Amino acid sequence: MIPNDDEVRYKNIINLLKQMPKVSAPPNFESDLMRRINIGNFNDTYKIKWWDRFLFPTRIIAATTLAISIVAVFYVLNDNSVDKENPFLLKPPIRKSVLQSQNKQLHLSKTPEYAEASINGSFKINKEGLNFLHIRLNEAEKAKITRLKEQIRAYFNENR
Amino acid sequence: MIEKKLGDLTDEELILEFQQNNTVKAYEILVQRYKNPLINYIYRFLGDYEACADIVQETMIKVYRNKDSYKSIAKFSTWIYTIAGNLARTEYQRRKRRNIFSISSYGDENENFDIPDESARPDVITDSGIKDEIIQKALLKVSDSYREMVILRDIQEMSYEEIAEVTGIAVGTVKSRINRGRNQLQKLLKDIYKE
Repeated sequence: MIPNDDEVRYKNIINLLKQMPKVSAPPNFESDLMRRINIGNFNDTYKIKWWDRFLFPTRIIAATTLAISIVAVFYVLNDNSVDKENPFLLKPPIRKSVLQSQNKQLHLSKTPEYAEASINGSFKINKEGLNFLHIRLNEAEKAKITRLKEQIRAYFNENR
Repeated sequence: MIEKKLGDLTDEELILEFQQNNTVKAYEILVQRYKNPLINYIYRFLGDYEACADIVQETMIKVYRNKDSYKSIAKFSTWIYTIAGNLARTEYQRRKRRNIFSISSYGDENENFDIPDESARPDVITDSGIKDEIIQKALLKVSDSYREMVILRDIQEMSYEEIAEVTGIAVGTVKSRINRGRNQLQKLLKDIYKE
């Protein structure tokens, strides 16, 4: 065997390996073997079982990677599905305080009558959607109105 | 007379004799021829003598049971080394897996630990037995795919083509793996081979 360049380069290592003593089989090797063959003891000690195949570290790593990939792909596809609304097109959620205020206004609008005090002593009256203004009159205004009523009444009597 | 005749036959002729006439003696001669080379190969790969004897026995049993699956186009040595190599690799993977998954094995009496060995210092190395032990330990530290190739080439003295056939790997890959394995060994054993 002609040594190549690599064998020249690693000459020392190769010599060390070649000088290692040869290991021999145990003295009863053949008798044990023939005994096993004769009694049919073929227990397939070194046959890989299916769960052993699955538990190989490389396969566990591969299986885990595959599972993670599947989950990641599922989430990505699920996020892009048409069923889900675009968050940018959604109306913003109404805050609780605003909602309570709206409810209160709705309740008030359904009330058949309500009166609201004003600063100058008059009242707004809501009678089923019709707005009235109730004004408190002083004595002079009351007298003036009474006078006007009498003048209208006299005018009607004269023209009858 | 017949025994002497069988002893003169080549490996391929012996397995053919065993296949065609079920001559157990031919099988026994093959066992005799290959038991030590295989023990040596598996021991250097696994570093466990008991396990390697079991693996070689299993190899021989597989040859016995599956004699008909041998095709005369291949060399018998390639076939039997392939069987032994596959079994050894399976056992190696099993051990590796056991070391990864078994917490209880930590601290096992049979466990081998790498502890600083004062006697292994280059200036102390005088006994060739210790030296062989250091080489064997270094060999076991080499990546398993490189180690197998280095053993087949430098210990079993197989050709690159034979190694490629046994392992089912291209010749170019075999060569590069052998060199990488040798390179790892050189780094591990730099104190020894300088002597």
